[in-house]
Amino acid sequence: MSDLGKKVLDAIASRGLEPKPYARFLARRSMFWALAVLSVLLGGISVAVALFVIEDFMSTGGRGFDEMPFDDIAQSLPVVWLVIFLLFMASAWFGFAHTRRGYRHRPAAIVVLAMLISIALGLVFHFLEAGKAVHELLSAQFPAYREFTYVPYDEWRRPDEGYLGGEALAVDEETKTLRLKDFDGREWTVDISTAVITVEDPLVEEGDVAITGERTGPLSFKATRIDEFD
Amino acid sequence: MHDTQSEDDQALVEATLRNRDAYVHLVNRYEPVLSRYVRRLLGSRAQSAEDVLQETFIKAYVNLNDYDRTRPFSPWIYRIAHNEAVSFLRKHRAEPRLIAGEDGRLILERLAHGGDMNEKPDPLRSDKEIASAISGLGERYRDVLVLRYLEEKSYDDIADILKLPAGTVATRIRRGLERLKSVLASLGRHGPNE
Repeated sequence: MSDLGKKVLDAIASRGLEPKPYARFLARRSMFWALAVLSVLLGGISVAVALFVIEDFMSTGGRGFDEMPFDDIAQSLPVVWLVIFLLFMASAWFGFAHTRRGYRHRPAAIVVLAMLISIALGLVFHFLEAGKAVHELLSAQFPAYREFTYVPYDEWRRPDEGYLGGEALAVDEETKTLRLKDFDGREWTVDISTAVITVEDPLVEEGDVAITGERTGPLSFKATRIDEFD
Repeated sequence: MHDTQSEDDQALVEATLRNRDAYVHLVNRYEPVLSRYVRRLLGSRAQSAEDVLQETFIKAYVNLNDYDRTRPFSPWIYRIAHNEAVSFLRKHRAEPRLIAGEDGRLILERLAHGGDMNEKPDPLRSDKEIASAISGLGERYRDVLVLRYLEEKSYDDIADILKLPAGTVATRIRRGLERLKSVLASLGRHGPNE
């Protein structure tokens, strides 16, 4: 036995050292893999929400606001989600780089690959309306979220200013009124006798509609224009 | 031969996990090469090489279950030795590592022999000058050149030892050689031993 060999074994014995269990290393590696995979998944969700916000703005945001100021357009950009997406990509890189062989790949390659997978997942999530669900959930639960993100429904929650949106429940052809449930769950009676209706389908089949007009009572409204919401 | 050694190493790792005493065979096998490597890294602090080496082997023993059995053992333990040596130098705020004169000449000879550099080491150029040229390259280039041309490691092994992408290793070696050529050419213009 060499001097060093003996010294090493003596030191190991005197310090009472043992090899750390395999499970401990496996758990550590799994944690980094989980971080990478979770980050990519959450990146996908952030893409889906960003796509929903953009699409929603394109389809509803400008209606009735012909002279929308530029800052409204800027506000509609899902900056929050783009930043969150980048943070998830950084976290995906961090997780992957700390896996056993992660260091063998260039950081730029890891980030680009994570972005591509997240974007692909984001498109799938968007198709499944997961972005809409997350956006609506966050809008309803977190007021702070609404300050940083464009929420199209807000534009149509201002009956006093002439903007009312919600689900068309029923139309009474005799009285020319529409029963509408707004985004806060209240039922309105809307006079549609003189309204310009641009929706192609019958109102009750249209689902959500956006109404421009004038408030005439606590829960009554006179419509001058009705557009589809989605 | 490399594969045989790798298989032997795997068997010794397995044996060590069953019986601590078997570890001495791994220590004996890697002591000469790691001792030389650690001394190269420590430079003027080479007298502490044995302490660094001892800690290297202890750390390797404690983390033996982290060793990836699908890869050779050598780069794994080289990496621990490298990290221990770097950590030692940082802790002692030691001066930048320098290449010994004979090591510098050896690098140039192997470069010329391998066709990586056309010119052979100028016999009129002192070992000190050559060592100084290599030492002046900067740590990121010096580390890869030492591993490639003194320790004779493959690009893959260097990537594992320094935890770098293989492409980055290739780039650093190429740039390191370019810089070395430039420095040596500059020395040549000023005349040997000037």
